[in-house]
Amino acid sequence: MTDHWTERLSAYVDGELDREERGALEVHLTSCEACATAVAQLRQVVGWAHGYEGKPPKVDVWDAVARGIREREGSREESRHPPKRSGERVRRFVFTVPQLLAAGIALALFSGTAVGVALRAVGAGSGRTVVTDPALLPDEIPLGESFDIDGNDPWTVAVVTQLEEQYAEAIADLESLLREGQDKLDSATLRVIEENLRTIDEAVEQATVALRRDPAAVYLSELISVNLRRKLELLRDAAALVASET
Amino acid sequence: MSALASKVGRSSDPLESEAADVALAAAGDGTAFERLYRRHVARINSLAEWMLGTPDTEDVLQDIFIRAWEKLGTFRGQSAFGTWLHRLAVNVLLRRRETDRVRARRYIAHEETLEQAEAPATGPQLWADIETAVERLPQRSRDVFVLHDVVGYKHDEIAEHLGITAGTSRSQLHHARMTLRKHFE
Repeated sequence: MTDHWTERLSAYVDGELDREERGALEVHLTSCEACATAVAQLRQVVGWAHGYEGKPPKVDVWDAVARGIREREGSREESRHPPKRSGERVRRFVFTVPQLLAAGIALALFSGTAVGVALRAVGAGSGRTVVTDPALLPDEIPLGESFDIDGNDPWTVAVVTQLEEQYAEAIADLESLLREGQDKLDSATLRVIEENLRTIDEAVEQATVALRRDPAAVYLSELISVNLRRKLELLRDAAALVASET
Repeated sequence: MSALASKVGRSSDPLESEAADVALAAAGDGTAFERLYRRHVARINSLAEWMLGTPDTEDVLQDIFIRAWEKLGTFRGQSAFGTWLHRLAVNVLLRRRETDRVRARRYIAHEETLEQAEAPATGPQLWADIETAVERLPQRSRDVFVLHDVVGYKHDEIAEHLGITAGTSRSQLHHARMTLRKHFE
């Protein structure tokens, strides 16, 4: 099989031929069994590659990865802060504001139920939080395990305040737009929007209350940022809907 | 399981579950990050073996996953986490290849000998044989095939990464596939 179409088969499989060339090749395929077979096999190769699950490494490197993370986080912490007194606990938060927002996008995939469960669990006042600083962990406690930690952290509260301030103006503008244009929306749509806004507001309120009780709970600040972002997106969608009906 | 994961439970939807693990890991949950590692390490390992031409990938795998941990905050969720991770891995691997020139002797011996990749596979060994056939492709064809068909890069991206033209990328991909297709005869 060495006809002049051979070199074009792969591009055909990828859908890269223009309409004219694709049509001509498809006519050719009806009469050339070799090319038709090759196309089928090329598709199998592509399918294999797309579905390929990989080959595990000869040696599992997770322990080395976890150790490497701990070492790097530890050395970074040491260079950032002077040594503490013996026995003094420090807490380092891994989030910057952009990171919080990034985490928020992924967290938006959580169902509202899951968020509610999380809030109730935190709100129950367990007094425990997720440790985010690997340098603080004794060797036998893996990263991410819950761990008693003392003291409040104004940093988290400050971040949340900053996030709320960032969103406040945009949210106020969009709420105003929605109020002015709500008569342009049908009642069912408006009801869904209002119910969602109410749910988000409740989640923000609950998380804020819980955060006051446990200022070290990083996840609560994430929840607030997630929900503020969801509210902003919902209001933007609603405003766009109003505009489209105008 | 971490405190947060145990509170929210695990989703039965793999994508949602992965997104939750990404968020947990970004918040410092090592257990969630380990789940991400377990889910992706085999594919990343194959990528490393193919691109470095050696089965000795322990060191670079550590580098990739530590870097992924450090960069999780930059993941915006605009693509699947796996896609993001593969692209991060490709960057690490290309840099590693540039500086270290890691080339195992047995892979070098296979270079430029397309015929050796053409041995037809039979029976249950089919997939393993194709893996081997990919290893035996000439490096440039292997790079293009892996980046295009496994990782999902476009030809212009491959051209930029490998310092070739998009046309060369297309041509190399075609020849790699035409070699590998013999395993499906």
